[in-house]
Amino acid sequence: MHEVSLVHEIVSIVIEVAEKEGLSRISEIKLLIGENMSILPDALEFAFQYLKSGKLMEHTVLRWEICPGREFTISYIEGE
Amino acid sequence: MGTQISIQRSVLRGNGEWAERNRSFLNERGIYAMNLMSSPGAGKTSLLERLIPELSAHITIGVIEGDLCTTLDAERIAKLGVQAVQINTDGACHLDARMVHDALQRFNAHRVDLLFIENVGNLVCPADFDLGEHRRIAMLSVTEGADKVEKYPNVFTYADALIVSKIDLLPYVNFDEQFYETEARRLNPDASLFRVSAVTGEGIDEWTRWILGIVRVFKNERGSNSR
Repeated sequence: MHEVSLVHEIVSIVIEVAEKEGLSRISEIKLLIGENMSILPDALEFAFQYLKSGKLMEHTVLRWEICPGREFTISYIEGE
Repeated sequence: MGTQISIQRSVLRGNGEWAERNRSFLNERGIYAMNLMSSPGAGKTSLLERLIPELSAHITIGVIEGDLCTTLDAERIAKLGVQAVQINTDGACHLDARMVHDALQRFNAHRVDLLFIENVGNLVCPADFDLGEHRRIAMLSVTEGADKVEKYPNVFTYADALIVSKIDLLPYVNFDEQFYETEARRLNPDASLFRVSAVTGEGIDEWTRWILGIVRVFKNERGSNSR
C-alpha cells in the first residue's frame, strides 16, 4: 500500500527532471526494483494511473526490471 | 523517437535525506532511537507500558506513536509520565522520515535518552522506510502464527532484534517456537531474539537489560556527557 507514496515521489522526481531537460511529454519511465523491497509492481502501476501528472504523463508507460537486493531507482525516462 | 535521459536516482532518496537529518538531530542530543514494527494488535503499546516503568528507573524515555487515526496510544503512554507525541498518518500505512522529523520538533528533546518510535501496525510497508533510528525492532505475537516470519520476510530480515510477544498465550495457540526460531535465524542470523509477555512480565527483565546495555554503549561513545 506504500506504493502510493512511492509513486508520488517518482512523479515528483520525473517532473523535476522533465522541467530541467525541457521535456513536455514523457513516453516511458523505467524503474529498477530490488526483489528484497516490499514493492508490488502492479500496485505501482495502479497508483501511477491516479497520480501521474496531466499532459506531461498522459501517455507515459511505466516499465520495471526486478534486480537483486534492496535497490529502488528510476533508471531513465524517455520523452520529447 | 524521444530522448532517453538517464536518472539513476533512488526513489527513497528524499526519505533517506530526512532520515539522515533525524539521525544527526538525535546524535547531537544524545538520544538513542528504536523503530518498533509489528502487525496491528501485536502488543507494541502494551509492551511499552510494561517496559517504560522498568527503564525509567535508569534513563529518560520518549515515545513517538504512529497510527492512522486517534491519539489513544499517545494518551496511554503519557499516563506513564513520559513524553509522548502522536503522529496521525491519515491513511498512510507507515511512518516516513519526514513525519518523524516533524514530530521531533514537538519534543522537549534535551531530556530524552531513549526514543521509541512505534510505527504504524503493518508487517510490510514500514520495512522500506528508514526513519533515522539507530535500531529496528520487529515484533510478532504468538496469536499471529510462526509462519509470518517467512511470509513477511523483509521486516524481520532487516531488524536488529526480533521479539515474540504474548508468550503467556502459548498454551492456547499453535505457535511452533522451534520453527519460528529456525526461520528467524535463517533470515537474520545476527538479530537478538527475545520472548516477552506484557501480561505476566516474563522476558521483560532480559529485554530491559539489552536496551540499557546498548543505550549505555551509545552514551559512552559520545563521551557520556550528554545530560
